[in-house]
Amino acid sequence: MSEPTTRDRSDNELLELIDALARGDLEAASVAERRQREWVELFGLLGCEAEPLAFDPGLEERLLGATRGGFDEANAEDASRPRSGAWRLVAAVLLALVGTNGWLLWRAKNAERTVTRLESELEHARAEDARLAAAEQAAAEVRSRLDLVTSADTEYCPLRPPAGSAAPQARGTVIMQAKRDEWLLQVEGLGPAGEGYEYRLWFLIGDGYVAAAHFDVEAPDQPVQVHDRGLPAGMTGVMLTREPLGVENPRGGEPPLLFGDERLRIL
Amino acid sequence: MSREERRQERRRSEAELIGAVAAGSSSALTGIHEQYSSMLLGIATRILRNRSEAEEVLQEVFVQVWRQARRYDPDRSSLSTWLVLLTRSRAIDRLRSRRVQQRTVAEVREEGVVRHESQSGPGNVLMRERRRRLTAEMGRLPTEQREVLELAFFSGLTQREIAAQTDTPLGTVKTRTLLAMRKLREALREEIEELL
Repeated sequence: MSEPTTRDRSDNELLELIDALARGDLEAASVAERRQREWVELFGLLGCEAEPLAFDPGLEERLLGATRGGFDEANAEDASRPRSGAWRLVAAVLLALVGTNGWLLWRAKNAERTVTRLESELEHARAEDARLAAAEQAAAEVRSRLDLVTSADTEYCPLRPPAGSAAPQARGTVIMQAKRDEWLLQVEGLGPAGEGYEYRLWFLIGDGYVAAAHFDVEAPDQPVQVHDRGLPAGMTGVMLTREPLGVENPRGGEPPLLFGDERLRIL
Repeated sequence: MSREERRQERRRSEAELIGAVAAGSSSALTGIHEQYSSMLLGIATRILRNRSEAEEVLQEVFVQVWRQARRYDPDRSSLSTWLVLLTRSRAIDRLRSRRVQQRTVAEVREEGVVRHESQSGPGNVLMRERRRRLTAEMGRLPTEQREVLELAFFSGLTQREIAAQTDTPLGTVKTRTLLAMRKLREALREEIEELL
């Protein structure tokens, strides 16, 4: 068997690195060689394909509050006292030596933990008030959509069922604003996708496509609106399909439910 | 500003930010949250298909960042990649340890998928542009090449597992992976250079 070439070795190293990163082996990222560092950064960039999701203010408060509480409890011990294992040994020796006084010290420490927990719960309760801010945010979203629809540069892509569509009664529109990199999908005439299925919106780019959104419908003929940012360059069309849950690419084999490749301006 | 200057500026700002977190600055942690949380929540949700689980994962990640900021090594990866890999690793672990049940319509509504919206604040302009570039380049890949990368990243599958799941020869999977990674590396060279 011939010796592997330099390119074969580098291909194998790359595949091994990707497998390690795929398994979640973060130590695989611990490489000093610049060439492999490029692959690690590229692997990390793949995450950018996921649609970013907004935090509501209540969640942000709970997240950062709980995180800081966890740090304060753990880090105070780490920073100013011996490591936790040694501390427990020291505490045990003190308890044995000082008897009742040691028991009182332990009770005081317990009370301190209780106070920390209650403070955390108080923060959570305050976070509930932040839901009001979320309502204001929703109102701002409505205003943003109105701006999108009425802007002078807004384009419209009508979506119609192609021949053979399983939803011949459905109709839709994608409203796009390239300068704001923003779009709004409106669809009517769809029913629930069915157990184990969902609707997926695709932006067509040349011969390929990129997933733009996925959703389901609660009741027959329920109007759907999906609003997002991110219009890919060179977009040539839009299609809506029905896919099994968890599928990342259209299965094919049947026509899309809705399709459109026009960009019209009204204003 | 040249690419090298941008890279140095990025490394300085990341070092300052993570250094402040390591020193116990909650405002620095808030800064990380403002810049990266939307992306990280999106990644976790994409992997787990469940928003509430994704939020739990993100809380674990932020606790880990808070406690282990000192362990971040800028020579190993950029800050964004470190955060992405932490989030992905925890989400994949949860995906493997829990069965992700089929979603009911109610769960889909709870995720806000029907009313899905993502927002980009002033600190996320770079993230938005990066996503736009990545989305466009991934869209240009042949379907089968994009599929292997997505299965590796979002499902945590190794090459062998991808071959089994897609009923494709292992050699074919490896070839597709190499072709896809090389194409993306060429197309995203500037983005990668700025992260080094």
